[in-house]
Amino acid sequence: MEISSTEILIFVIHFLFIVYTVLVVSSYVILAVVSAKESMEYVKKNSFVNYNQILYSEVAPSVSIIAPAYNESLNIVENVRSLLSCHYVSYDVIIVNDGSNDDSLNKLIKAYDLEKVDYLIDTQIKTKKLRRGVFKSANPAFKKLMVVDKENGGKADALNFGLNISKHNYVACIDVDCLLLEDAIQKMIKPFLEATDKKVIASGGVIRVANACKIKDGKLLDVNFPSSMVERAQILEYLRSFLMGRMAWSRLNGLLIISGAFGMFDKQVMIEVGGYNTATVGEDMEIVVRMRKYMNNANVPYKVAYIPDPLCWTEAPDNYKTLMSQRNRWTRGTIETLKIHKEIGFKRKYKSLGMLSYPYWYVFERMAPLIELAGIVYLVFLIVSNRIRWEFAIVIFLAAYLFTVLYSLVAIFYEEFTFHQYKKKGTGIKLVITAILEPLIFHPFILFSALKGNIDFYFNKNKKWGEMTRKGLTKESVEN
Amino acid sequence: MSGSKKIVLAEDNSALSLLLKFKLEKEKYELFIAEDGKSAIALIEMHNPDIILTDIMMPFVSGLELTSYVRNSLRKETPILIFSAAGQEKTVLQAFELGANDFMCKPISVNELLIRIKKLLI
Amino acid sequence: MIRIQNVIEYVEHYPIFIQVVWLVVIGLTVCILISVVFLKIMRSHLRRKENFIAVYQKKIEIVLIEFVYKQYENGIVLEEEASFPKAIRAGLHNRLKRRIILDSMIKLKAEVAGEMAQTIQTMFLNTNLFDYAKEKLQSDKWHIVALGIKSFTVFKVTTVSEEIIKHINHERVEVRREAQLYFVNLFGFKGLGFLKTLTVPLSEWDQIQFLAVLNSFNDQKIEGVEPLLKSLNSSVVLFVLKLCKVYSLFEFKTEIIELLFHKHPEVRVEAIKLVSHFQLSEAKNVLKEVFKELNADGKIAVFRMMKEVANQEDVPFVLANIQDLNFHIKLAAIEILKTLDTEKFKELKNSIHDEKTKEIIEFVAYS
Repeated sequence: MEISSTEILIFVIHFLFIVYTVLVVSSYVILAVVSAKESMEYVKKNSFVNYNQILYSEVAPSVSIIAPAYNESLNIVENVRSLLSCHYVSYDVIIVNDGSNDDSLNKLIKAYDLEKVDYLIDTQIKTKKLRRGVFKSANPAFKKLMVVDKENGGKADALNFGLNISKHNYVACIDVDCLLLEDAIQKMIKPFLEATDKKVIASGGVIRVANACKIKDGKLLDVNFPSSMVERAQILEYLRSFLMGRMAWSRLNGLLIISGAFGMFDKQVMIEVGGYNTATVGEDMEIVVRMRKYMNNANVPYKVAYIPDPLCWTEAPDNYKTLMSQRNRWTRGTIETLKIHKEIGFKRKYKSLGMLSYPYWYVFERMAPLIELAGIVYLVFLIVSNRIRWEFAIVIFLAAYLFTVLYSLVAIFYEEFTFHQYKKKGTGIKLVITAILEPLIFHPFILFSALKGNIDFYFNKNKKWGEMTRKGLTKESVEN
Repeated sequence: MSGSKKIVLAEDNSALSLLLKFKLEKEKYELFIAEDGKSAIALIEMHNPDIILTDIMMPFVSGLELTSYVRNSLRKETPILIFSAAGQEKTVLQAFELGANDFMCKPISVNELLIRIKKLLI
Repeated sequence: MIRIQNVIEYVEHYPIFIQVVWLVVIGLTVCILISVVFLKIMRSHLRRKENFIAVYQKKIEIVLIEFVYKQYENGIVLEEEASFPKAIRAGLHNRLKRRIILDSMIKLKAEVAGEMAQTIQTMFLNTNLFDYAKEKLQSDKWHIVALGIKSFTVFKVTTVSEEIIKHINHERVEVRREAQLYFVNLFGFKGLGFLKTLTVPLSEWDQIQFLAVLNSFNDQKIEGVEPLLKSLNSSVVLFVLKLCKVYSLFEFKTEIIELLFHKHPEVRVEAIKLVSHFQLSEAKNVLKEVFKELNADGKIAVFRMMKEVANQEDVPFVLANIQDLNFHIKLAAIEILKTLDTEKFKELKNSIHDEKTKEIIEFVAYS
């Protein structure tokens, strides 16, 4: 009996695909179960925590909120005001105006009575230098605010400047247009203060989609579900990723990424690893991996914590063009980070970081779009060469599709059980419809931008941060 | 009605504001309640109260900013009494620097509050 | 009928693989349909519950406050449950309503003192709120136990302390914490007895909570602190150092100076900071001797202290460390030199070539 080499090849390909599918499905299920346990425990723990004492205690550690800003003139005054009204006893807000060529700085000077001050900075990390200088308010009510105007160097460079100038031990690095809820700092600092056996080096938060929400004067008034597919699908994505993915990774102490939009860090460790990497577009993921590696090397037990409460709301891309540019950047960031730190993969000494997180991220995040592309190419090959057996193809496709839809539904359930942010009538159905349509309508765009990201990474070295045109956080409110 | 003194209360704890409303209205004060600093400012601008009671920690515009706004932007000398939680000495001092006249620590004794209000209205 | 039969025959000819996957597909579809229905039910239920809570909360708050206010005006505190408002008494039989009533009571109690607080206290003690809270202490679920302890803490009920002390070594840190907070809230410094035998570390979070609670015990005599300074548990020592700072416990200065040699680096640093805060110049020479062995934080703390207590005889020491790599040490040393010895400061200005040091000197010279 002769078995042709093509048949062997086909068999091997099928086998690999099956193995991959089984791995993906089981990992998703495991992550879902682990995050369910973690979420339930978190909700229980928080049902009786008293945050009041930390609010008022003069022994509570001070935190610096660092927010880089580039051409944010449209909403900068409003965003800063919202940052200044956090309920925490001792913190300051450092706005780093990263060489903007609009009137952001002048607007701030006017709104907050700012004056230039002489400031001695401990430059522990090399950054671009000051431009117009350091500004503080003459009005004691705005004592917490500091605005730094420096030469343009990019987000990572601006954050590093903030790290240099901050005098406190903890820093919260955020995007300036993020709406932070008042209790954000109290909640994010808790893991740092509660830890006794492990050092907490960072705590990450959940990012919620602010599109279509009613936001007035920097305050979240009402949560609404947006109307376009792009925005809706992103909400679903975020729910899956934050409530089911990161929650589980946090419990396994394998969290590799803390969203650049909102994260709190131990400043000392950040400085010791050299601050943010200005040469990568995925600086938020890269620094977390680097910090973890550092702690592993130093043999100090550590933890990266994660707070699932909806504390930070931000504007997500509302059109496919901006979305794809963002996802392209995320892809390149992931590839870059994994490449920079490839030495940790499968190394025993890096424990869960090297043996679990890195391989997972490599195979299921970084390689996934390529594997999917391979699948599509193979399918096309089968069709074109008339080897396609439709009875297989159809049933496999259906199973994959339905599994995805069910997974999204589970994520929706998690949301209902925990934070239940989308209360309005009719949103449930809209979420279900989004879950049904997303794999068919939204996912292709994501796949395409991920593939393009791969191409751009290898062949197009000029791409950096795309620009997201500022629409402002007050899309819904017209009440002035 | 022209004789009754007007009070603007900025307090986000609904239980406390309701209680104070009972007591203060019984004492023939006219009370305007705001749940956050921003609405408090609106009430102050609209009603021109004789005294302002405010909590320090409030959503959006804090008691400190409210004090500063009243003294510096509105240029009013209206007596301001701050409610603070125990241990907030630093913030209380800041409030005084900005122009507040008196403060009371929570939990407050309503009787004491009345006495202090009367004193500030002289 | 024929069509279905055809389909089944058709499918049975397929390999097992496809049959299995079709079963999976059907299973998934069923799950999805059930989930969608369940989701709708769950959301309506949650929506109704939240609306109910919002409405009931407003209503019961008004009832509660009117009652408390009326008692206050009449100057009496009625004890029997029968005298409490009908709406509240009725609500206590329903679990959700009971929770809302308890929350409203807690909310109000935190804000008002005096007789009004007393009324709320009596309401808690003389209704089934007390019994249910006590029942919670026996629960198997740790978060229920913690909730129970918390209610007794808020209402400062001393009669259940025997029950609560059983939980002081509970396996879950959250329960232990609530039990500890109970004792500190009710007995102040006297309630810190558990620190004597505490073997696990006391987290910063716990320390902050205790300090805040102790803050309200203004008149209490501070006792039992001295032995804790010698505790083997370094987190307890750190906590006591905080107490010393907050309550200006100068009387322990010898013990504190001894702590400068403690084996735990963080304790040493905190002791230095405290010595600096108290301006204990007698410790200055000790610190100068051990300076080289200290870590960066320790050295910075020493120099911060020097800023307060340095005098002429310290100039050589300051000069010796002026070139230290650490920014904060350099800055402090330069600032001290400027105040102590302007001549040497000018000399320094002219002799230093290192960029960073020069920048600091310039800044200090013109500030």
